[in-house]
Amino acid sequence: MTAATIQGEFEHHVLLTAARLAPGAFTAAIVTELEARTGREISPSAVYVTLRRLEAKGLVRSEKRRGDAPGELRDRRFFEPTAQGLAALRASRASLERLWEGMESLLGEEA
Amino acid sequence: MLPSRGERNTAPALLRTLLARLLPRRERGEILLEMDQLYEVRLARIGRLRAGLWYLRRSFGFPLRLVRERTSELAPALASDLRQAVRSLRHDPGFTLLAAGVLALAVGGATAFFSIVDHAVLRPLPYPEPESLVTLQEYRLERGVPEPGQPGGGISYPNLTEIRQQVGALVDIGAIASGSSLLLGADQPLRVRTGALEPSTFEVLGLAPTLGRPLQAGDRDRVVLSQGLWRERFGGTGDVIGRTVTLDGREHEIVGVMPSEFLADLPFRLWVPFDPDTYKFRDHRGLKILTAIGRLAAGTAAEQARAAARTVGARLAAEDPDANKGYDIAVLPLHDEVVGARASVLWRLLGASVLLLAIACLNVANLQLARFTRRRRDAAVRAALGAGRGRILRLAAAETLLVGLLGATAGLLLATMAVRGFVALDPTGNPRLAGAHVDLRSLVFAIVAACGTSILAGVIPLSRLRLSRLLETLQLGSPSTSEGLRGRRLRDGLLVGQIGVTAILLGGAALVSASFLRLWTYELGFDPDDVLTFGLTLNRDTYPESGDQYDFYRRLFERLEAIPEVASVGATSRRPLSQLDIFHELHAENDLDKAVEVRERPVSGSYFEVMRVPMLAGQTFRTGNGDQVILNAAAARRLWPEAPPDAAVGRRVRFASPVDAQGRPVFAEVPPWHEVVGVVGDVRYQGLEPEPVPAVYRPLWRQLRLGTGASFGIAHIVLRTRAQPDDLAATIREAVWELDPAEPVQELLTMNDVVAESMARPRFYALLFSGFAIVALTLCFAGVFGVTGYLVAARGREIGIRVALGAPPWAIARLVLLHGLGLAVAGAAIGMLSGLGLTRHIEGFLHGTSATDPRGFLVAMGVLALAIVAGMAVPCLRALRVDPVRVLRQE
Repeated sequence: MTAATIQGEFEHHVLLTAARLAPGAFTAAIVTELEARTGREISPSAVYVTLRRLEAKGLVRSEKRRGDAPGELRDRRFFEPTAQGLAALRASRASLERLWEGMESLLGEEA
Repeated sequence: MLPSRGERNTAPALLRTLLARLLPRRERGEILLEMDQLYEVRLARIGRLRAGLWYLRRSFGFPLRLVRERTSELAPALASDLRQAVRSLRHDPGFTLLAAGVLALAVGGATAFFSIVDHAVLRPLPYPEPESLVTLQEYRLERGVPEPGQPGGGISYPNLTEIRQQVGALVDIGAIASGSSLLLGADQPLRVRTGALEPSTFEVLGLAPTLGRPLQAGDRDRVVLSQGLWRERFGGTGDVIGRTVTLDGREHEIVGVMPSEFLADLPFRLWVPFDPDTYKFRDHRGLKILTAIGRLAAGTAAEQARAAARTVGARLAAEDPDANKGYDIAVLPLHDEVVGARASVLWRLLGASVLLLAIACLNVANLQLARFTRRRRDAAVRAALGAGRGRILRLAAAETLLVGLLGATAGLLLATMAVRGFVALDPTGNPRLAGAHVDLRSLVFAIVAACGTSILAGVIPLSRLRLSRLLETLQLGSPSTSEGLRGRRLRDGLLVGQIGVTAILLGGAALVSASFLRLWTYELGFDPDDVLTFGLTLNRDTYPESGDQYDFYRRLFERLEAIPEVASVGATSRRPLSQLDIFHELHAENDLDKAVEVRERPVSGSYFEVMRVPMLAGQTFRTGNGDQVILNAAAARRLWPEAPPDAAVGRRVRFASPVDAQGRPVFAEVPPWHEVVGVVGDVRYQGLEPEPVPAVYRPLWRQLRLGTGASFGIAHIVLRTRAQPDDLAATIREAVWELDPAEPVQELLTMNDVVAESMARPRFYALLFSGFAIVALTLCFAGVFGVTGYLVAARGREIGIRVALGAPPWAIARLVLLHGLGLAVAGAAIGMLSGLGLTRHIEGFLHGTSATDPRGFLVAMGVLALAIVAGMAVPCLRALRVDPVRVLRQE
């Protein structure tokens, strides 16, 4: 079976943020974190659907449980990356680094 | 940090409810929860209003994206289903081809007729805004509002003028007067039907001409050609505009050519301006012969115009009772008038093809049932491997759809050919059919019909699917299939249904064909071989006196008789087998009270010889004075029933005096006695008569010489030829034109053609219905074959055991046949009874045969029985060859 890959920048961002926030990564939290870090408004439905897709590919797993925050009354779905997901992240980052090799000067001028 | 529970506020209630409604149940709670949380965060940061706007903006992304995800998940599943279906159908070519073939036949027929009905009946008229076009007709109150397409409706000019002035609901009206003219300037002299149109008619109808311009107010001596005349007689070239032709001796300039849809239902070949000043009947309120077409004002309902017309009609009746008493004015949709009486015939044909579709549906259902039962093991394995009921159903649905599409494709090809064939052979010459073809609407109809039938046929077996029973099959491990009693009853029922509907169609075909055959074998009473006929209408300006006309014919006869290939020449006033006849009442000499209605035919003395009508007694007309008549045998029998027909020679008859509406004799003098100089054999003049009609023949030449009779210079010449009649056409035309180059030779035909034409319609319907019946029979045969074959396969074990126990072949045959025959009888009985109930729909297609004639049904049942026995034959033979040893070994 071929290893599932990350398709596109958005999947990469969502997976990465889920990894950062795990084990407390749920949809709303991921949205908020992404908005804080990228400075853009993020579509909650896009994140929701991407998480499902990542789960279908086996890159994250989810579990429904009571949250840790005080006053949580309902179960919600928490996500965390699987081993494959982490491997995919590593591979993705490695590719990016290789692609960016020697391009710091480009970044430096435009910064 | 997320706010604690106590500070939580949920999103605006309305938006939240809306979102909830749009989400699937499974994800609803989760999504709402997440959105609530995000809303709270924003509420704290940017305030209620902007948070609400954010909620509005972002919530509807959820249902949209979820749908998109789901369809992209589904697509590969559907693709896989389709691949599976293709594979499984490929492995079962017998079923696939048979089912698709059955569907193709039935769908092809139904689509063809849908196309035809669509074009001829359903389509709107080819004019702009056709719904607002109406015709105006005066009708007798006692007869009621005329049926659509009923001939003879018209309006008088003065009444039309009143309507124009008084009825505001009709924004524009055009009138058309019918006429006939001698046309010179085309490729040969022609007599054509001309329509005198008020120029407003062109505006009312709103069709632009193909060439040139329409007639306009103030036009004199201008003419507009019809598309047909332009193409046939003027070469269809553009330079026809501005050319001059002569109509009845007056020069007219051609100013335009109209498209073929323009007034296509009227018989006019060209149009001239209607001039009220010269219109002969301008002031005659009582002559209601104008055709009037009107357009309703925008936004007006036909009802308003109708009511207003009725008011005017009532007033006119009061003002001028002689002309208008008892009449009313009807406003009828133009569409109905044009479509006319043909609609009902076509709808019935469509009904018959829908019956075919029903047979196909039942047939395919049976095929599906058999197949499904055969493949039960397959489905059982799938179920055991975890395929849910939904998946199995989906697979089966995919298969039915594919079969349906196959059937639709093949059916469309068949339909295209069928429509072309129908239009080519249609004897009614329906102008609306000219452009009929299989188009997008028919395509949609075909696909819906095929897939609908296929799915319907698939639903019946599928509805019996029970997973639990499927698994039982596996457990039992039996390689053969066994069906419950319910299953057998179901397929038996389907077969009975098929046979029943086939019986109905067969019965109909038998009746229509029998009717046609009866016509075909009627004794015509004359010999149509080697006879030519043509018509002449002498121009009244060139031959003003009947003496001049007689002169012309005498010289023409001399010339025609001089042609070596012509054996004899005769004349009559109307074309033989035409349907226009004048009826009179005859009194016999010794019995003045008895009046016998006879058909009058002025003929030349040589007519009987040319047509080879046997002279039973006496002789043909003698030259000299004295009023003479010749009777046919039917007339002689009616007038003198106590004597044989030939005894009528020498007796005398008198024509009843014509009377007016009040019954008073029109002429003061007593009508003269006529001597019966001969009695001839009966001739079926209208071709479609079951019984010969009494007829009296009068001397044509004498009428012409003396100026009596109603010939108006019209005569039909008949010639018996020695050579092939077709070769003489040019010679005959020459003979006429040598005498008068401006005299049109009309309808130059062989007598055989005339006979064939008179039978065209019954022959056409016989062909059609036979076609239906053959298809139905084929489907039925296939159905019986399939079911019996299945039965034999299913009971293979039983048969093997019986044979092993010593059962003789006839017992096995009986086992197979009895079952099938029982179904056949049941189906046939149901079909016959239903058919009797439907007979009134067939009556329009019959001539001289009653719709309840049992002989037709008996023949049909015989044919059906043969087909059923044939269908059972092969499976029966297979049953007889079952090897008992092999069967027992399987136990």
